[in-house]
Amino acid sequence: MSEQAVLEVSGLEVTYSTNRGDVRAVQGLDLSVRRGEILGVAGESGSGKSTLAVALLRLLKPPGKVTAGSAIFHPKGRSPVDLLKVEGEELRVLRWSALSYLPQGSQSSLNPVMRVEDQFRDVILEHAPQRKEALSELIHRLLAQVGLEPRVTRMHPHELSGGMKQRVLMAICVALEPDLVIADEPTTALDVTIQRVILQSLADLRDDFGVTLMVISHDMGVHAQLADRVAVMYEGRLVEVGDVHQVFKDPRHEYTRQLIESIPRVGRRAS
Amino acid sequence: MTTEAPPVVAVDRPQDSAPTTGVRAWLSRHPLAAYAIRRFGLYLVELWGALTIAFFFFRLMPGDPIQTLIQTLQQNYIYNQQASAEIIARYQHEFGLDGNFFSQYLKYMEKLVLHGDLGPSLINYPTPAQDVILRALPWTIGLLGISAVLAWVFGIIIGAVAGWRRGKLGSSVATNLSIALSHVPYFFIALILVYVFAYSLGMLPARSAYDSRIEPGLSPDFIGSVLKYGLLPGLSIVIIGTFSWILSTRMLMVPVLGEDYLVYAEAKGLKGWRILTRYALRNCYLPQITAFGISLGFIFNGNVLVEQLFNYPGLGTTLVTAIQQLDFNTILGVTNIAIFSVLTAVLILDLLLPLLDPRVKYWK
Amino acid sequence: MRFLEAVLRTVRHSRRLATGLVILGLMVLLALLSPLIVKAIGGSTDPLELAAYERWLVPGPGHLLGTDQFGRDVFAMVISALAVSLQIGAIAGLISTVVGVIVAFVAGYKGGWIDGLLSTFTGILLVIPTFPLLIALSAYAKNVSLFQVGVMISIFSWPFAAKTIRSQVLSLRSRPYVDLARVSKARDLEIIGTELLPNLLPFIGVGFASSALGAIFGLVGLEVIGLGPGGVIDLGQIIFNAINTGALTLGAWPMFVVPIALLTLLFAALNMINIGLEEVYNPRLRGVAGE
Repeated sequence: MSEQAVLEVSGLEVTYSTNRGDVRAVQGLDLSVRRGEILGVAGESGSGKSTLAVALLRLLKPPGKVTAGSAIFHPKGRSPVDLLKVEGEELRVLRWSALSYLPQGSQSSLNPVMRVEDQFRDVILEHAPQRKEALSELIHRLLAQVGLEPRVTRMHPHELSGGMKQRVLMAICVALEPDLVIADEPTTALDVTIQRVILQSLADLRDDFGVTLMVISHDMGVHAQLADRVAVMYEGRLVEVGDVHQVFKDPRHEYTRQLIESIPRVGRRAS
Repeated sequence: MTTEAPPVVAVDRPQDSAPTTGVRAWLSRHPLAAYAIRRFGLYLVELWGALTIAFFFFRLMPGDPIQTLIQTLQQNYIYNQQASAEIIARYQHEFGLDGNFFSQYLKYMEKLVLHGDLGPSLINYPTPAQDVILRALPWTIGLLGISAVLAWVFGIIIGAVAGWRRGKLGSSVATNLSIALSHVPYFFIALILVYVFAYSLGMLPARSAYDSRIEPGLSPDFIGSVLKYGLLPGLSIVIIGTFSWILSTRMLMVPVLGEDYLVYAEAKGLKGWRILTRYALRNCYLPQITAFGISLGFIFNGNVLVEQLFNYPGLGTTLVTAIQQLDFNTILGVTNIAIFSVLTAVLILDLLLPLLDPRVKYWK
Repeated sequence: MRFLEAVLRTVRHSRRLATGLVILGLMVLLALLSPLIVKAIGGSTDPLELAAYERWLVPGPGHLLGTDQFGRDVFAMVISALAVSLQIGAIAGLISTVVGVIVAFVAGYKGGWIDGLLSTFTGILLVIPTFPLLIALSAYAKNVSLFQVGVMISIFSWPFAAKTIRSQVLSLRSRPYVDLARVSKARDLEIIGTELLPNLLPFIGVGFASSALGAIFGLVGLEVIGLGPGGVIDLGQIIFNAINTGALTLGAWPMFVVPIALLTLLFAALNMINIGLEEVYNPRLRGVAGE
């Protein structure tokens, strides 16, 4: 695994201004994502991990605002760029071909009135029009990668189960072999058995496509199974980051220890 | 017209244990056909209900229009003040007014449904009322149909853009103008337009549907004249109609803009107009198709006044003239044809919707 | 007192609602003061009397909007007609709202076939063109009182109110606290009175505004084709007079432009109240109409 960084976040600060004053959702965050790794970001609800994801994806909506920091992104074959500053057409071109997003499958992220195939088609043709020739072949291959049959292409989102939707979203997010995929709670609200399948597919995607994944999840179990490194957030700050084995074996921060203990384990009663 | 609730969106297919043979089984295997049959059944019930309401409404009216009608008839055609009971009875029979309410109703429905016969028109006696109406119908369909569709298209486009660019000056101007003007009768704008363009500037004709010096036919002259004469009445319907569709489209658009699939589309790095048309607009114009059907009756109401003002030879003018002369059969006929057209249009749109919108729940 | 506070809070939340209420309030004030204004215009003579002044005077300092074909002061006429229009709107709006609320409660709360029947009936009335029916009705109501006009019009405007309120009853009925009330009290009337009605007030307001709007709309429609009920002079009647006496060709624009402007303002105010209330109380639409 190379040690070269795909993304270097430093001094990130995100503020939500409300009429009762400003709330700092992320403060003074430094974090780097290495090429080819799966980085888990853990923390409870309100710890700022989701805000971190939307801020990096540039999907932050008012009243949220990035108030300080930089996020230097190193896409392959392009010059480095600060994700927090890039605007307009430059940002649009960067999206999906270099930086893609895997939302929670239980959300209605797929357009309810478009067939699955068209939801692949529009993004691929937008960023890689030269693939038009072999497009349906590509879509079938991507779907097969996540264990879906070709007939899914003709279906509408409401005909798919939650797990199938999540797999479609996974196939779409790697369609253009991006440098970095940010996955926001990819297994939340899914069946436990399906969660396992999804996690396995995510690991396979990394092996097959060599993508770098940043996985946001409140579930330490997900990180234990999937991540190479884990970053733990608490009240908007990064309290700990390290190799997954090290973090689980010897958590440096009290909060991390509590999070790990919250995982149900065979042979141990919940306290 | 206010916004319609979006159509019911399917969550899951029913997994009930359906029987394997018989009609029910066939229907459960063909949900679309089952939906069409149910919807058509509802249409028949609504049509019957509305036609019945209209019939009894006219017959039960205080002051009995029929008596007045017979009297007018006597004055107009029979100069003998002491019309014999025999003649009155003959007219009553001819106009379907003999016997009690219920037998009148049965006879009326029989003639209407089986023969499309509305009985003679008073003004044009003995021409049947349906002939008078059919002569006027194309003008109304042309004027109202084209204007209503144009208003719908313009309103949806402007409303979608206004919702898309909310917070911008243009959007807020469009929204506030729509709030102010969407409930104004077409007639108001028509009156102002006539005053400015016909009387003050003399640019466009104020009355009639075409230049009477031109022979009606498929000549370029005649078509040009029809367009020129239809411009002001059409414009007044289009202007107000557009405003009301702007408002309702914007109201449908804004919640759609907060949907996850729009955030996702943005993350996909699609071009703005593509997100607007393929993601946002596609999800909000579908409920507007249903709303269009529902609003047709309302549009017809407004159209009556516009036609009357411009003396346009359509159904509205026919209706008003018939009312002024107490031409009972024609009044009822116009009402019926308006009811029939609106309900049929709603039916067609409802049947088309499952083909256009994959989310619509048509099973069950 | 608590009710008043709630109203004030609501108004503060929506500038649109506040604007609508202020415009409506000013118009009501103008209508209430109309006898005084008319008196002030006329001085010793009644400006509404036939041949009170010269005919077809152009607008000027003496007659802000000129005079009509009978020598009546147009401004005085418009002001008193506004009062009549507002009264008809209020009467018809009130009757429609009461009928609408009853129908909506019976349909929405009872559900089942009663709901099916009432909803289909309301739906038919909303979809079919009712104007011909209204026209026919008016043909037999030549000399009627203001109240009778209101009743006549409300026959066609109540479905507007019923539709709005029914959908709210349906959504409220399934809320947990209604279930709770049902379990603990079980008396329909009590539940309706204590749990449903207070929550429905804003939507009853919407129903009132939209049916008042529909009523004035309908009446103006009748009048401009010359089928208005006799003996009632409202804004629609003035527009009808203007068209009929050739005000359009004579260029006497105040006779139709001013009533149209006033009615447009009234429609706008009612519509703003409608949308404002919906914005504040319907979470799904909050901020939807936006700025």
